[in-house]
Amino acid sequence: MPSAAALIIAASRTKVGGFIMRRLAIVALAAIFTVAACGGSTTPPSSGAPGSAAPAANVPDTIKLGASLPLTGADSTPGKFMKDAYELYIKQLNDAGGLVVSGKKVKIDLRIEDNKSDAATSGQLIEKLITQDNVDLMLGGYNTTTVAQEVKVVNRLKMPYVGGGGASSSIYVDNQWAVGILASIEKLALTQMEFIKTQQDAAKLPKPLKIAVAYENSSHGKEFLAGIKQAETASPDRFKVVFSETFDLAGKDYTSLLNKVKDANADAYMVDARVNDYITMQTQYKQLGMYHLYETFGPRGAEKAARDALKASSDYIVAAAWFDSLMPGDSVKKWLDTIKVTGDSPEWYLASGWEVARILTGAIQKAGGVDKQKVRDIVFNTTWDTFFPGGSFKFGKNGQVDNDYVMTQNTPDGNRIIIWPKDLATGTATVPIPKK
Amino acid sequence: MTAQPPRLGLPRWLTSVWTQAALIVAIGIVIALIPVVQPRALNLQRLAFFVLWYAIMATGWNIIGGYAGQISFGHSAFLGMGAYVSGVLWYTTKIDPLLTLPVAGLAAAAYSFLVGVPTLRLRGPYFAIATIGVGEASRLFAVNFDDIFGVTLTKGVTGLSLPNYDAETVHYATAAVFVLAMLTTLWIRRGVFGTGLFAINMDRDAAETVGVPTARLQVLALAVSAFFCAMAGTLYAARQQFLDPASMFGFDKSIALVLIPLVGGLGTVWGPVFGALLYSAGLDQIQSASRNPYLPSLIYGVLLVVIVLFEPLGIVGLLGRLRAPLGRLLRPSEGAP
Amino acid sequence: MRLVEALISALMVAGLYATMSYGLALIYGVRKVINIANAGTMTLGAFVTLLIWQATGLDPLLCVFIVGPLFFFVGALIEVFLVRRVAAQAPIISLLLLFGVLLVIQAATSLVFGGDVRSVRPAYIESVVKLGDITLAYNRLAVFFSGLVILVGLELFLRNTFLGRAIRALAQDVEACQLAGIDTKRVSMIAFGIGTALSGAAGCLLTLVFAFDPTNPFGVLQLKSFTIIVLGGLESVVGVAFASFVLALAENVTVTLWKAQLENLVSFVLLVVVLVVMPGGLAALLRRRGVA
Repeated sequence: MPSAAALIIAASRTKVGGFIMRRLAIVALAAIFTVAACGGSTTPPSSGAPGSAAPAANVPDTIKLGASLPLTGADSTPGKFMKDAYELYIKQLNDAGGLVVSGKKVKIDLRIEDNKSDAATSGQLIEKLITQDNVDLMLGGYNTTTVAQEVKVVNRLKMPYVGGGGASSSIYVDNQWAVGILASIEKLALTQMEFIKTQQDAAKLPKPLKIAVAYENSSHGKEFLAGIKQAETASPDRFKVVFSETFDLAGKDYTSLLNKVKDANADAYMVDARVNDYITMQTQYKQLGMYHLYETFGPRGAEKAARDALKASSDYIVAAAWFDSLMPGDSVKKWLDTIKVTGDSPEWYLASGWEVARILTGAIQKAGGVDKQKVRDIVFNTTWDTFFPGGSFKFGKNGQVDNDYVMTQNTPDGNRIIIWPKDLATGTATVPIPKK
Repeated sequence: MTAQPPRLGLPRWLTSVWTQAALIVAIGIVIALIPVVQPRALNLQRLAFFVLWYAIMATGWNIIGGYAGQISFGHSAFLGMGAYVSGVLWYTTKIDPLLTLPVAGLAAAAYSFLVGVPTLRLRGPYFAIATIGVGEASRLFAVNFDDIFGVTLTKGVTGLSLPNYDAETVHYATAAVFVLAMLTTLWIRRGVFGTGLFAINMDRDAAETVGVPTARLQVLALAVSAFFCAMAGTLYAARQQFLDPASMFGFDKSIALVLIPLVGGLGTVWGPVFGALLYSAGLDQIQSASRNPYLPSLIYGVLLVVIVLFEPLGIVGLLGRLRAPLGRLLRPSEGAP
Repeated sequence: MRLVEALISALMVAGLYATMSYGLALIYGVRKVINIANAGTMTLGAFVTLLIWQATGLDPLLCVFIVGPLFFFVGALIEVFLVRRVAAQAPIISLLLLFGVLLVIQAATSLVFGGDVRSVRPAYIESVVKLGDITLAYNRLAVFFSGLVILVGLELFLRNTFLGRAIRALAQDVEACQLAGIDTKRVSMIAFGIGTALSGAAGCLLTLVFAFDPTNPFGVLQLKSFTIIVLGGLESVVGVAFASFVLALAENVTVTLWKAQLENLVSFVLLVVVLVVMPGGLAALLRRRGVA
């Protein structure tokens, strides 16, 4: 097409401080596009009819799994835990020769990208993993906002996604393709309220309990407050929220906020915050000589990073999380042995990542391949056994589970005990917190 | 126009506004055809969308930052404004988001007027610093909007999950907006408006003395610029169906909008496009290869320093330097003694 | 009562704000450019402090005496090899150049240290002083006094030494300085060095108060320091100290009387309003009243 060529050559010149070579630029433009597109210019056609006669024939030699995790930035700590869990789980499979799918050993290729703790970046990375790297299935990311964006993308591209890092129920609206193994944050708060009720009945906490709530300005924080308010509405004779205020993430000075909390004269102080904010706030809380009968930082109290930084200042803090390594049972012990090689402290993130990888690879085995629709249906319709509280995961229609939480309390000897649910408890809670 | 010897043996009509415009339209059509010709090339569609998306915003930024020389570090305010206007209208009234493209654009233009009239009186670094304040204040307003006004519109940091939408339709719309943005910037660059902006860029006082309505031109340039950034916001909302203040109003987006035209070629028509290509497609591939999200920003930082020190016209300038030797290469007879 | 506490809390924060902004004012004075790389050198300062503290257990406050001189050279190098080369061009070019330096420093810090949250916690971190009903934390007091000491030191230096006077003269009139035989290049280099040393010192102090990673909280603090120097009139060290207090007070009062989440919004709204309403900042206001 000589005319088109002429057009391009023609256009390759314009006046910008003199004449400038445009042709090269257009060639470069075309080249970058071509190079970029070569990585995976076409997506593979979705594989044949489900339940085809010879499943082994459909089994590829390697299966590609993808994940976009916050390896740097605000959520880098949980991100690293999940990465370690995914990598260790896949490494174990590959070391054993591969995942056995329909009698064939299949190597797993895991591709993890760093989204810098940014939701929009994560959405774009997931799309790239699916369209350019042609990953077969997705492992989930971390942080409510980020996971919400990821769930949008996998629904658009019809990609099964098993997640263990976003608990807000708002993520799972209009969702067909993603599942999450974390129960909602409302439930986290409600579990604590249930525990408090037993303490009130034992006359260890007053009735009604005056509660001051401080929560991070995020969906996580808002749902934490919503859970507490829900309990207050249900039992106004037991709970009274006398103060509730939200604060920005990565804050630097909580003195003024804490002074307001002091003025509220509450019995219990319930906070939802990230680890670094928890450390900064609790330090200032102690500096101000504050005291409450009951104190919690949502799921953070038991985390090792904070425990190491705060030491005795974090004694008696109550935490509710999706999993705790102190839980009894052989499967937990076995898991603790397995993950020793990572050198990580066995936080719930690590357990969650592990379970996510287990469920997704389990679904591949059951589906006899990586047909997306089939894997999705199996993930949704199977009851998965787990070492999380409750013993099994059953995903609801929206893709979220409704498992119980496990509550712990830090003890003065630098350890912690499980205080709730009763059948898992390893000690008796010290309520109210002793005044020094 | 003085007679200039046609270089590379090309007749002068080829460099005219009309040829340039035809090229822009041709590029737009070629890109728009991607889903038709290659319906399975989802990766190409993804790359095309994000290159065009950045190109639209950078082209917008370039009108005030490149032509008029008022460097803004707060253009994410307009991007976010557009995205949220369309997003909120979409999920509250179910209006198709692409129909709200002009609404979002005009809303941001109005917003730019509000912030532009006072801040554009400031010069150089003062304006740059003021725009940082505008960008961050806009983000924090989006974060706290619901709490301040006691409504549920932006959903704060939680982010706004929007209904599903066909990505292919957005692709066509993006190509169309890109063509519109490029034609606008070309028209401004070659017209009286552009001449006025460049006069301000060189010496605002002198421009004023010779009767250039500097204040009016700058405010208008900022409004046009905001208009295109906001349309990009709408396109993003329709394609990704999820908005959160940190992503849409983020300082990193404002920074990207400074970097892209600078590296591509400040104040040139095609510079923002080259910059967007490098920033979005090029660095995307570097990150993929290195699996390190900081390598691209390190490379970009070094590029920025080098460009400011040695080649203020960026990629366009570098290509210009290549012109002479390349010309000899292409037509050895011409270069021969 | 709560307002009195807010006032005192503001004083404590102001010490850090001022330390990180003095350098900006000095550099603006001699080069008429806002040193946007300030946050980068501050980040580096914090990480160098972390390294020293981890290796030797040296108190972060004493680290100032290592980080300061070290960063003086970093700043001097940036001035000689980068900023000086574009000094003849519009100030915005220098701004963009320094912006590139910021990107490089931040990306390099992230590459080296990763994105994890770090904290430096010397033994006295929870110790407090009680003044009646008011509790003052040691670490915050230390930061406040450091800010004050630096202010006094800087003022004495700028008023009583030849070099200091030369820096002040350069801020006012470059040509007059050259005519008077001042080596303006050398003075610029030294001022840039001192400015960078101060931002490094701010990084040291910051480790005492916040947990940090390569981007947080430096980004937010950077933007606040812009508000502060604009509010302080760009070139005056006293203006910076005063503006730091005004900003910290505005933030604390907002939290006390209204909502904690609006704390950061205050500073950015204040920045835009000040720029538009009184571009000369508080210093101009004070000058008009014959105070400074």
